[in-house]
Amino acid sequence: MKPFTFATGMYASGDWESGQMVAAIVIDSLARFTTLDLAPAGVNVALESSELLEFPFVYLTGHLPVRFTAGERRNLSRFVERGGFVFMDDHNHDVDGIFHKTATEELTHLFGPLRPVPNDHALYRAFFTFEDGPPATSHELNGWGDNLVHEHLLGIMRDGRIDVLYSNKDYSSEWSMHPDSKRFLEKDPSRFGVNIVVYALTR
Amino acid sequence: MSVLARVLGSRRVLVATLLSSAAAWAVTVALAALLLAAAVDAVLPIPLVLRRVLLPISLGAGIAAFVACLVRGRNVFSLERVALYLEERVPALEYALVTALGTSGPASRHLESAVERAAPERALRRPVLRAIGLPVAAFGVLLGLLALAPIEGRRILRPQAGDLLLDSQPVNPLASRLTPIVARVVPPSYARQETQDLADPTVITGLTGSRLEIRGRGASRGGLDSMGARLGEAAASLVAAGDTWSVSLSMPEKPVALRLLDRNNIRLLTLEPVVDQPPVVSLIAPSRDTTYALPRGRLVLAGGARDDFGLARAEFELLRTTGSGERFDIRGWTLGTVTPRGARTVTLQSTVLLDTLRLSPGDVLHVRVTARDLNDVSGPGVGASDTRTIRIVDPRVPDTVQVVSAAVAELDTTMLSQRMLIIRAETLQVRRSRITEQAYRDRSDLLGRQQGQLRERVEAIIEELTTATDAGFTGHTESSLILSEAVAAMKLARQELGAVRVGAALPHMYRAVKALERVRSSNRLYLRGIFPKLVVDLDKVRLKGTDRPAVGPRAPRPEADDPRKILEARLVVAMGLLSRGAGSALDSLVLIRIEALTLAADVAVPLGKAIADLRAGREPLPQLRAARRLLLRATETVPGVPAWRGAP
Repeated sequence: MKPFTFATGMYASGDWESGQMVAAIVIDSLARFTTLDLAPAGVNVALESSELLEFPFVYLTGHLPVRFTAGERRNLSRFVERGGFVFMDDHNHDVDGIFHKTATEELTHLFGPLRPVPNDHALYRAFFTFEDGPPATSHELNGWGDNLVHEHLLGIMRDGRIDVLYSNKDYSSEWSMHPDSKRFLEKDPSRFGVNIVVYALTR
Repeated sequence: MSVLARVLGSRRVLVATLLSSAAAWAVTVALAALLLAAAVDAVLPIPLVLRRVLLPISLGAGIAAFVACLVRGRNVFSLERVALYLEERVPALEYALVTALGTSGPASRHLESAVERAAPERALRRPVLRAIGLPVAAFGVLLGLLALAPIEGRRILRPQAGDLLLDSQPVNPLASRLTPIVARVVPPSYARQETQDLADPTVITGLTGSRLEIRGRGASRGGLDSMGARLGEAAASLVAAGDTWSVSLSMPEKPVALRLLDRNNIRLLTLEPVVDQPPVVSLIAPSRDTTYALPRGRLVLAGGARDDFGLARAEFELLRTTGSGERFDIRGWTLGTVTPRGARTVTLQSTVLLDTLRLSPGDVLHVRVTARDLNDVSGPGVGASDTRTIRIVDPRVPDTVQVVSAAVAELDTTMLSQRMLIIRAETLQVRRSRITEQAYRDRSDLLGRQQGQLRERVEAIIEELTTATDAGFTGHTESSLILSEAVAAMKLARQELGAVRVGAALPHMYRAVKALERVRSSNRLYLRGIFPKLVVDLDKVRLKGTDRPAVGPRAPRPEADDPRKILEARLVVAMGLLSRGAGSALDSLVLIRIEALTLAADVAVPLGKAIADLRAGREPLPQLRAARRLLLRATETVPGVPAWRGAP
């Protein structure tokens, strides 16, 4: 059996690669807190590639418009249908931003409307406990972007299980640091990343 | 009056009589046919399909009667026959008429005076009256009979689905009020479809949002307290007007069962919505993603849209993004807007002067076509084409599309080479009879070697695409898979050329060039692409975290319910009910089919046939077995996709 590999999804229309550090910092946290068999580096996989189906989890982010191609739509739909987990994070953390508008439009078109994930959802207890739901990011607290602290994450849920997790909170910026830099912080900032991956693999 | 004038006058009268009589018989026969049908309908209601053809059949019978009368009386068109007819009716003529007509030139005075004395025209009165009076009298009698049966007459003359409820038969007070019923489907106005009336339907099909009205009789017998209707799980209200009860609904978005209830009687109707699909939109030009060195020149835009019911609007949508890192400025435009006013297809064309868009180095222009349909009930349906990205090179930023653009350039030259090879092979084939066998062999072999070299070049492109992980790629993309098709075709072409079978090689060469063209038109440029690969030293950090999780042992995730398995189990139970009678299984099968329409559409087809067989008294088991086989089919496996570990 293959070790868990953090996959970043490549799509044709935008800056898919803007969260360059996210894979490493989440892998680092997974190694620090779990015994999960891990690949030491993330991979980038084209959404329209059939090899997307080799991964149980795919991370998508960006600032620019998200306009999937027909092949990307078809493949992403198959990925979710087969139990894959999509984590999409708005790197703009801007509720009226172009990424948010176009990404949610695409997800709605593919999977139906996004709904708020309740803050007592199993996602927030999948490994660490987050009593108040999704942890706020420093970008939210500093009033950047839309100057909002988003209360909920959004999701596409099927039978209570999240298939697609969508975040306006800009975890991509929050986790944009070299793993070695964590040692200067009191708490590991990507603990919630551990919850997302563990949830994706166990629920 | 001359003898000839008298005979001509008599002929006119007889012709007019013949025509009138034939017309009267035609109408009478047609009416008689309708009346006969009405009489049969009064005893045994004739199905709507048959009633719809009764009127044309009756008209046909009338026309046949008209023609028959004309054929029978065709002698009136002959002067000699008319003269003989008059001679027969007036013996006093003593063949004076026939003799006068047979004489060339004017008749003798003796003959003319004999004819004048006999006045043969008078003898026509009675036969004329009889010829016309008989059919007219018959017509009157039939009309009176028809008036005695107005309902049946209406059902025959103006057959409609709704007239099922006009049946004048006395109704058994204990009989179900759920039979017969009539359903009216009124499609939304935007669809511009006709209202449909269905007699005693079991399945009602209509556009989502259509207005449905189901009517039946017997509302005055016991009121509506003992009646009810349920659409899925929701109650629907019935209303009464005179003896007619009705329930009004809107066609839902998904198939659902409508249960009509009357005391202990239940009637199931399947509501099968037809979903208005959103427009299908395509962007024809630009045909692929492009990178411009300078933001200058004309950009030709072309696209198209089509819809199943009608388009309201279609336009090009342009989005310009400027900036980098965390700061982006975005501006959008629409242009080339077309308002097709309900047309089902539309083409769009426009031109953009890039100079006017104030594009800067590093900017990205996103182009697509969007279209909306006329659906004002559950829509509007919105469709969008693929987006093409047009990038302006920023010399300050180490642009990272080199790998892909290099592959594209290589692809272009490969395609040209493949076309050249095809031209050479075709020329060789044409010249075969003019060159020696050895020369033909040598050239075929040379082409084969060149084809082999070209294949190696394409294989190198695939290798580049699938292994250039520094550029962000991993594994096969759609492009590399199509390229693999080209490689396979090239390999076969190489074999055929090596075996000096140029004619057999050509089809493979055509396939190869087509595959290359497909890749070229579908090739995608991934923005930037260089992605620093950070490798985490897992051994160094493993379990070094100080934060404590709050999780206990985990149970494996329960297997998700497979709707096909659930349907299969229900189908087995329904099949078991068949031994108790068709009625016992019918409702179960209808409900299973309704769910199958959403969960397993392939199974709905044999189930529908099985239900039809059951209703028609035929054996439903073959179709039910086919449905079960489909439900039991093995889970599709994807070769090459490995299992992945779940729980940590």
